[in-house]
Amino acid sequence: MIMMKKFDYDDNMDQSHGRIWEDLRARLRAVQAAVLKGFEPNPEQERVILKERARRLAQEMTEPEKARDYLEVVGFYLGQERYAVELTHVVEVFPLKDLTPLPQTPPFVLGIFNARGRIISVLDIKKLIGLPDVGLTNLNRVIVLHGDDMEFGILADSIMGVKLIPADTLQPSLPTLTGVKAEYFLGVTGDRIVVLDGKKILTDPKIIIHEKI
Amino acid sequence: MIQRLNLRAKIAGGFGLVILLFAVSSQVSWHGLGNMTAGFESYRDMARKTNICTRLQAEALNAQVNVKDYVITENETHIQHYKEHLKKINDLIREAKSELKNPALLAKAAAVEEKLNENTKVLDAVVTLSRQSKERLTTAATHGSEIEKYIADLMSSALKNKDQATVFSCSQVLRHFLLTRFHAVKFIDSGDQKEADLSHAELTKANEYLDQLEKAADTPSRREALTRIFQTLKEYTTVLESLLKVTIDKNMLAKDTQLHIGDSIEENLKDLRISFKKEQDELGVKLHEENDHTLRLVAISSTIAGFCGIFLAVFLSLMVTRPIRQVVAGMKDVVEGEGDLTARLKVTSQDEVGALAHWFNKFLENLQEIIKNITFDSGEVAESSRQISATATQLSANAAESSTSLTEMTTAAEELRHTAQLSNDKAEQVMTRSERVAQIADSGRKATLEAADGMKHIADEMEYVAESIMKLSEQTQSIGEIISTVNDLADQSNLLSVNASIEAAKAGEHGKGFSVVAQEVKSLAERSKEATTQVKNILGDIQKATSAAIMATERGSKAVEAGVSLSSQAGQAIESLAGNLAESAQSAIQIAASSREQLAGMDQLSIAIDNIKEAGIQNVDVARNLESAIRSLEEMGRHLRNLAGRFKV
Repeated sequence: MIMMKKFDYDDNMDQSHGRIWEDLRARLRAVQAAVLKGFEPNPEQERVILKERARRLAQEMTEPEKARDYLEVVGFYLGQERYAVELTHVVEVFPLKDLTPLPQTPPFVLGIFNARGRIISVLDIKKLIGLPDVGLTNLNRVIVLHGDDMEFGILADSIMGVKLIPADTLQPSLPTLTGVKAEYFLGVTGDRIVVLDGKKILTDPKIIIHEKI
Repeated sequence: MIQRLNLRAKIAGGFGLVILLFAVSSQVSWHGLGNMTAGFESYRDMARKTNICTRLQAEALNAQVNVKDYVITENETHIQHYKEHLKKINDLIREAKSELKNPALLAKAAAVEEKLNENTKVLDAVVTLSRQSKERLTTAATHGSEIEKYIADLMSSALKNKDQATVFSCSQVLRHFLLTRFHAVKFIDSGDQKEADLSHAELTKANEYLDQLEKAADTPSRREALTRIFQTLKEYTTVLESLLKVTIDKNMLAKDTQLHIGDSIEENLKDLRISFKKEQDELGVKLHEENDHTLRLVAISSTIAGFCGIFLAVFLSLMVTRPIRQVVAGMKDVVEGEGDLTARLKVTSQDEVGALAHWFNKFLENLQEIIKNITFDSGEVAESSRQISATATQLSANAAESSTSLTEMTTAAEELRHTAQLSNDKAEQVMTRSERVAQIADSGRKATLEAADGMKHIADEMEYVAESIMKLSEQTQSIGEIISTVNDLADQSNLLSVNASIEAAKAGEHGKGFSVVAQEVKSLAERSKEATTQVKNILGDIQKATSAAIMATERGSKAVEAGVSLSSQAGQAIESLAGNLAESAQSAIQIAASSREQLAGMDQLSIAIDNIKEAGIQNVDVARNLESAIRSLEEMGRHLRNLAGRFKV
């Protein structure tokens, strides 16, 4: 009798275990199949992707405001705020590497760095234009600006990319801004991007430092 | 004096006398028969000697006959036969010599032997001569034929030459030569001296004619032929003469031999035989007389012995039977006197019969005493048997009672046996079950061992699982590294797209298309970034799940360890259980054995009780029998008293 009970118990155990393992094995097989298939999208996904692409292409084609006056800018983040600078002043964008601090420079000069053989000085635009610091930021992008006889980089947290801003949506800078701050701004767009005046910054006499020690 | 001897001496003396007489008579007969046997022995000897002589005579005659045959025919086989007979004669003479004892007779036998030897020598000489004569005859015949041929040749040559005188001479020579040969042959055949003389005369004549021929011979060939004839003739003459001489010698010797064998042997043998015969005759008469004497002696002695035996037998029988008759008469008186035991026999003699009478009187005395005692005792027997009868009745009653008790006891024993049977069955059941339980315990022990093994296996597998999970975790870490690389790449792509857009914007209208591509690249980079963020989240989840899995595995290993220790405990428990079971099985076996023995004992007990019961029943019967036996004993006591009363004491 005792043995019989034991066998029953064993059978149950076996059955439940068998079910669990069967289940597990099935799942493992599915996962393996998925991994093998990997980057091949399944027909449904493919269809979704194709639909999206078609929709976007259709939108491009129906762009109506081709004739309007646009301002081409490079947008970037500084903390939570979004800024932009005119494309005409921008040379290139770099990831910030090997920044060498320079001693005996004003606080807005962070240092210099090597961009494909050219030594370029890096400025902190907030300190330059007197904006308050808002917590810690990444500050790992450098946007290289250049004017007639000036070239330097400004730090950004991240780059939004090139944007077309219609000129008529640009509103004048806030009346609350006074002094130095106001003269560096071109205006603010509808979606609160502050467009900086590149020319002004480049030609600002403050940034030319000539000091003898 | 005879009256004083006892019976044994009387009988032994009588028989001894008879045996002595017969011994004397047998001795006489034995002596006579011995003499007769000796006489017959010498008689037989004589007869054998005579026989030898007769055989000698016969052999001698045979030898003589053979010699005669040889002389007549000259055939050598007769000589062979003669030799054989001679050998037999020699053997017989040797035998006779060993038999004979008389010197005169021995001398005669020796003489016979000597004569025989002489004869044999002469005969050998004759044989030699005869052989020589034969040889010479052959030579002469050869030479003769040659001479005839030569003369015939000469004759024929003379005929051719027509020489009449030579032819005549030749024919004459031939004639006389042939006559010479003829007479020579005749002489050899008959042995007559006249024929020999005639042959010589003819040869001389032939020689005369040959001389004439020689004188007449004129041609050398003829002379040569004649010379040859002469030469041959000379040889022939020599041979012929020696032949004639040999023949004469031989004939002389032959006659001599015949004479010798004929007489001397015969005479000697006859003498011998006659002397033997004479001795035999004398011996025969002597033997006859001796036999007669012996027969007379035997007849007389046996007659005397017979008479003595008869006399002794009659005397002895009278001596023995008279006293016995007296005793018998006395006994008859005692028996016929109506059981009078007071009467006694008279003792007349002092031998065995006297002793018999004396001891018979003693016996009567004892008998008288015994009958008195019996008369007294039989009364007591009757009394005792009455008492025994009462006891036997009591015994019978007791036996019946004990039989009843035994019946009860049998019932009790049967119940007891039933109980023992029950306990035996139970013990056997317990034994069987305990064996089965022992098997189960054994399989349980095996199962725990297997479980311990399985647990160890599980522990190993757990370790393997933990290892695998660790590997997985490490893999996720490397995936994280890859993902951060991908993130960097996405960042860089984003920057690149920005730069590309800048470049496209600088290119103006021409860079319009490129600007679109840059836009696309940018969106791709963003999407990559999103994907990496997702993967990072997933990796975080995986990391959490891995930690949980490792924790679970650890718990599993601990559980397995506990399981191992538990299974070993269970194994020990089962082990000790099995030990206890074995002990209890052993006890059950012992119980079964002892209960079997008990059962057997109960069977034996019940058989024994049955036997006792049987014996009790028999006891009752026996007691009854005893009663009846005692009654008959009483009866017999009475009868005995009556019988004893018949005697006068």
